[in-house]
Amino acid sequence: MTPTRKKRLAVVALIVLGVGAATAVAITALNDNMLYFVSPTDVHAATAPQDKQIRLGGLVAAGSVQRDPDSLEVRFTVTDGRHDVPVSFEGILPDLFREGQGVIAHGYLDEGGHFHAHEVLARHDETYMPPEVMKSLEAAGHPPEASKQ
Amino acid sequence: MIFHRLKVGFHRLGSPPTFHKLCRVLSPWLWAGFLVCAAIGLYQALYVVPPDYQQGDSYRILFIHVPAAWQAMAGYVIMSILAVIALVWRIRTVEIMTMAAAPVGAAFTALCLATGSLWGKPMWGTWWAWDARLTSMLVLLFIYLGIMGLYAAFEDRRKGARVACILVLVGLVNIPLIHFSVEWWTTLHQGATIRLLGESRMHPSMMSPLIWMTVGVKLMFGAALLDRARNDLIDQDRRKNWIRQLIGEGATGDNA
Amino acid sequence: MIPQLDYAFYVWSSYGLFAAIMAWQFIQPRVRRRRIIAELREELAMQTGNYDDPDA
Repeated sequence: MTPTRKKRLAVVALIVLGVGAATAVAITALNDNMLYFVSPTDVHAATAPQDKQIRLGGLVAAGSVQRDPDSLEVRFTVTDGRHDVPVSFEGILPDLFREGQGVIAHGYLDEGGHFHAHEVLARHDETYMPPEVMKSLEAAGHPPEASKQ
Repeated sequence: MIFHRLKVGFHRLGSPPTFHKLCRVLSPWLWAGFLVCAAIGLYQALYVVPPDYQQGDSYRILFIHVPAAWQAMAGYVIMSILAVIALVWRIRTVEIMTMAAAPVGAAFTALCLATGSLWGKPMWGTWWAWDARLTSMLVLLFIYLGIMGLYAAFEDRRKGARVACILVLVGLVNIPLIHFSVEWWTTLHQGATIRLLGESRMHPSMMSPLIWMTVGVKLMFGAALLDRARNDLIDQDRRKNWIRQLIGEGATGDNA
Repeated sequence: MIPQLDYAFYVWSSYGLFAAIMAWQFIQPRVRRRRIIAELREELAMQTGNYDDPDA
């Protein structure tokens, strides 16, 4: 390699490393803002801001879903296995919404620790398998986690 | 010895007539390969693989969405490697190839975003969310478009290519960000299904169309890149003798 | 053939988009090349003086 090319290559390497370092610093500083949702544990530790719009993510606790027969109101508990947050929502839920499913609720937390959501999104996991395989796994007593987080 | 021959081949690619010929010969084969792979992949994706236990048939969007996403990112890495060669060795055909990669990569990024949206609506319940994965993918589209715009803004094509190549290297930082976004932060988007290290989270009975489609779009990326590079070369060299000879021989017409 | 028809719209739209973008990537460079070559042919014919008007 000629000296000119070596110099150019060094400049190229410098650009890539420089931009990489700058980005690393920037995203470290912005880390909390990059989170799309917080867990019930974060809410309990009060690291999540109160009376401010937040997204709460976790699993719908088994047996917690109560639907109002006269309206679209639904109440359920979001859990991450360590802490629970009761959630109320009025509206149409995504098709994937069910007990044990990962969900993200967008809304605010009142003083009583109750979460009022105006939007509920379903979160699915990265596992794909045919229904029969799932059934046989369940029969064998090894169902995969319904959804992580 | 082998290294020497590689080096000679590499230098000959720098010659516009040789490069033009390579594009002309290679492109139809790559397109044909893409068609075969896509035909097998699409058939298997729609009619052979079983539905998913959780998402039913809507997960079939994966066989378009995931290959498009991988190609959008792999295309960027290929473009970056070309950009380094273009900047260090200043080979004009490589500069042209780097710039030809951007519109194809942008097309795959747009396809990934659009199919992701069409998948998100029925499954998540929303067309779009500003989570780290989706946002970084949107940034990738803007980077691709920025590279195309910067290249087009210069009267001097070679100068434009060199400046745009620097933007290619600057934008490279976004690629690991896209990949690790689902691990570093909480996102609406789920984690990686197919892992280079460790076990994949997809049942083997569903893998085949994903592989066919992935290979298919790789071939298509190469074909589309060569097609565009060849056009740029003809356009830039329209006053040069070798182009005039080609046209005089009638070797450029429709099969040019 | 797809049993769950509720999702068919989203699935078919995705596959349709794929076909449309691939076709576009195939056609666009070919249209452009045809245009460039036609321009060059004309230029070349003008210069060498044996300009045959294709419409004549």
